[in-house]
Amino acid sequence: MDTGQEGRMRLPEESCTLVAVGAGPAGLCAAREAAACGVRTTVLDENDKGGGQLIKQIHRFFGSREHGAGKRGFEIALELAEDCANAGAEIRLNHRVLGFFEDGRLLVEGDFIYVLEAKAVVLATGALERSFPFPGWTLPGVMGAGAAQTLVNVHGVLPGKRAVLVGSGNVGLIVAYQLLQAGMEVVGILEVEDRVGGYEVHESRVRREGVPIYLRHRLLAVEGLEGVEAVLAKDLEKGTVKRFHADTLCLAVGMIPQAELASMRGCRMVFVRELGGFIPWHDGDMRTDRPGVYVAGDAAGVEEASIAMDEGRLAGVAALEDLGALSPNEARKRKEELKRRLNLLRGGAAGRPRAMAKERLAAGWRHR
Amino acid sequence: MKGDWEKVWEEARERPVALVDCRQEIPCNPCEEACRKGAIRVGEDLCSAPVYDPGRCDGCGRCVALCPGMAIFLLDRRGGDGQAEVTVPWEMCGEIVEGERIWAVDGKGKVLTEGKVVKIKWMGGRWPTRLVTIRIPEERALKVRGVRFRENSVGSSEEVDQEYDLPEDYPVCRCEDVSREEVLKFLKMGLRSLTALRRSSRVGLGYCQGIYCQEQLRKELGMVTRRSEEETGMFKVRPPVRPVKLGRLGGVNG
Amino acid sequence: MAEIMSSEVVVIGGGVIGAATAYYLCREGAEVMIVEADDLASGASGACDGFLSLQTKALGAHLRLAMESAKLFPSLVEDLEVDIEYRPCGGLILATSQEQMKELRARAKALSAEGLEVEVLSASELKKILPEVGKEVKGGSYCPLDAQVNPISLTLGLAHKAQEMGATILRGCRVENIVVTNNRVREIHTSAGSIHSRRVVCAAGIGSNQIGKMIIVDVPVLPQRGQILVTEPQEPVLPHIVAGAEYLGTKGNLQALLPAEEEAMKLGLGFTAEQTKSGNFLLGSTREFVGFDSQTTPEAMNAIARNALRFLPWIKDLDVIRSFAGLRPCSPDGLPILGTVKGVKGFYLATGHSGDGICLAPITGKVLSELVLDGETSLDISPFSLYRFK
Repeated sequence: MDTGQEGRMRLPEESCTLVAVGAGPAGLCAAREAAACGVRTTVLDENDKGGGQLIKQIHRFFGSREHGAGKRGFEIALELAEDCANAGAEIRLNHRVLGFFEDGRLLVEGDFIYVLEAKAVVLATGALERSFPFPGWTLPGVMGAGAAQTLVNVHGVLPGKRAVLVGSGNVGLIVAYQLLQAGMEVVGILEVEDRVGGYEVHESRVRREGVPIYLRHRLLAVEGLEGVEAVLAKDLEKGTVKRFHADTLCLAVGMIPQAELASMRGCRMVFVRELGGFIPWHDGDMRTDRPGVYVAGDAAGVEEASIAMDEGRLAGVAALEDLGALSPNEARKRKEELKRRLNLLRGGAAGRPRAMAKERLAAGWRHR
Repeated sequence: MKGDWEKVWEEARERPVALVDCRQEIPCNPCEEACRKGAIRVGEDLCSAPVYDPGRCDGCGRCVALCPGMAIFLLDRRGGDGQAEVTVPWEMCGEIVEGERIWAVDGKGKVLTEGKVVKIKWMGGRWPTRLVTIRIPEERALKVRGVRFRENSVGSSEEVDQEYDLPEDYPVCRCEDVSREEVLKFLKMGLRSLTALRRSSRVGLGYCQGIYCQEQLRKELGMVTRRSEEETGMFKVRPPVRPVKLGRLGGVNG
Repeated sequence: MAEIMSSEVVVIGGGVIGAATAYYLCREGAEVMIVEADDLASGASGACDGFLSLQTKALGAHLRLAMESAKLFPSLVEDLEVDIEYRPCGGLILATSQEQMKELRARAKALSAEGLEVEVLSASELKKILPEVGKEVKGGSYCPLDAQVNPISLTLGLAHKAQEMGATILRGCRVENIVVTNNRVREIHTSAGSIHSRRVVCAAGIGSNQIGKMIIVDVPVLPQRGQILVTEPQEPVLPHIVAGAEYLGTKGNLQALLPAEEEAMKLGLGFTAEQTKSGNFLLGSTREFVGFDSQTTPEAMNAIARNALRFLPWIKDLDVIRSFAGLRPCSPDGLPILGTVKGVKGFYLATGHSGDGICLAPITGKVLSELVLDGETSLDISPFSLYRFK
């Protein structure tokens, strides 16, 4: 690539056939499908490790054999990245996509800045932790549950000594457990609803360790001067206020699909509450309404890693089909199998609202 | 399920037997894959609860180690002395050694009894799980779901005065340090589009580009306009979606 | 069912020009309605920098208009309730060659002759007021009357004050037709209903051509894209607004000051930099005719960044956090179009400000209010007549 004279350079341009943005489960699986089919494939990720959020998951995963079930998250991450690279995809870590323009070009920052053009782009940019403002929320010690998880599991740093978690969904329960594993005390989990949001098995794991779950308790504020010193919550049944002494507050109140690039590209965005917020509209094969632009994983609606993998594969197959690299017959067969698996993964009571939302999207999505 | 546990109780007289405590619809089947004897079946529908036949279980413990929900245990009553050995998965970092005293707890975390650690075994793939076997009076054995060193929970809180005054103003946007009150001021001035509100209040114009505060601004605006999230829309996304050094953007090396 | 409204004056457009016009009309006691298709400052006024630069104006009537406008800003600071972040900071134009220095010297002389104080600075003199500049910089010119404002706050402040004085603002309201009978404006049809009014000011920026068509008048305003980079906030370190001499070249189409590089020419690249009150650097900009496309482009982002570093190399480690593009309402000669139109009484134009809208807004509002209410203006605006174009 021309880096020009005198340390200055023009904007270099490069092209490939398929680009996956994001080397999480969705992006890696999409890229693997494409590369295994002989298509020139590049995966871009802003982090220095592939695997997305899987790299900080030390617990064993749900799913079935195809999703690495029973293995630990980071183990699955390593396997997916290896599979993807072995299939021939080029995985570029520390490459950040700065823009996805309406003409289809990507602006990327790697060791230098460049423009990348591809016939197919799979957006697998994941999700962000939801946050909300309350008195004291900007104090050091207030963080997303996922951030706390990254600290303890990736960097080996304890965010504090005593934590309160907000939200008893699966993320809140799992992170509470992992903070305990790392040696922190978990003072309690606050849940505004009258029942625990996550699976019973995860609930049981934290309860066995003696962590109380406070149902019908709303977070009011965090107190402290230099950092978190106490967490205030309102008991919605009794109307009283409780103060918990803690130095860390972890918010596990959901995830927001991270779909800025799709929006910038001009994809039609729709608000789907069941899937976490604004997502690019997509059909049953993960195509957005822009030609050559696909979406998969949490960026297409917040779900689970196993679903992200199969959605990534589905997006990869759809892209291959549109590129003419797969026969319509072969594509149909693979898509049917993947959709069957996705249906199974969204089978339980927890998955049903998401399954229905995805069906409505595939049917076109109208305002209610 | 109850019937199963009676059967487990009986079979446990002869050999260690798994006790599967999984009732929810979870898309998951490693237990089925783990069992070499075909004692646990999930079947085609991943979300169905496992069907378990204690009669076929050989007590190998693989399912105990591999269950992501840590919801499978082993019961062993071969001693016949009123004591039972219960095996639970253990994933804590701390040390645990044979001979130690430890508390046995039920699924809600309630202490059932004190027991003694009699065996520790590592199982389950490259990054295994410790299986901890404890010895306890057998009448409590079916209820055991975990073990812990601490008897009581750490959780403690104090009641605060009912009249507690909550600070009313706090930042909505931390990058630009814009308070909720300021946002309300702009709404009062009649701004009705998300973009105009963003430009005027500066909420979402900071370093994070509004990925954290956008939802809140949409909520505040929606409360005034009574429009849905979809109608209120999103911030226009402008590159760079991640901050980039000016020198880098300009192609100057170093 | 759409309602029927009425107003003494209707101002089409809630940008800075419309807001200023409404403000000055309200001060004279007029009853005003602002009709805005989107929201206040949603067009060029919300997507530009805050330059109030006098020394970049064309010599003659344009400069006089700008100088009159500059005098009005302090009164706005007093009168408006919104902080418009006005800062009389002075402005610099930097030259990167001796040829450019020569041009700046000539311009400084001409500007001074017209009553604008401009000082030419050698490289060493420049160092005293802007210690660190790029190696290429040979000197510059300094105008103490140049200033800076927050264009969004200015628009909002003017509109809000007008509202307090009784103006109505119709947001999300699109003008669909203007009814003219017996050569006089009678009624405006909008998406929110009809408005009876005998006086209409078109301050619709890049939408002016469309509005003109409704009364069968060709208003030659084209959208010209200007892209800008925004950096993370910093402590105040840039004391003045700064432009490169090439900015003068692309703005005024001055042959001697046009950029040398082909790509820069294509983009109409000219360096501008200011540090806003919030601490962000705004770095510009381009001049491109690409229709109504207000996207930013990789080429321009790269070129603006590269160009900025020629002048201010020390900002290379600042993070760029955003880019944006505005569509300037551009007239064929780059000067505004102000005044009446032939054959349609009660229709007034205040458009075509071509990137000088923020700077010229107060005086535009003032003279338009005089024109609408009294039929004559305190300042000769005939050089800005629509009929100067043939």
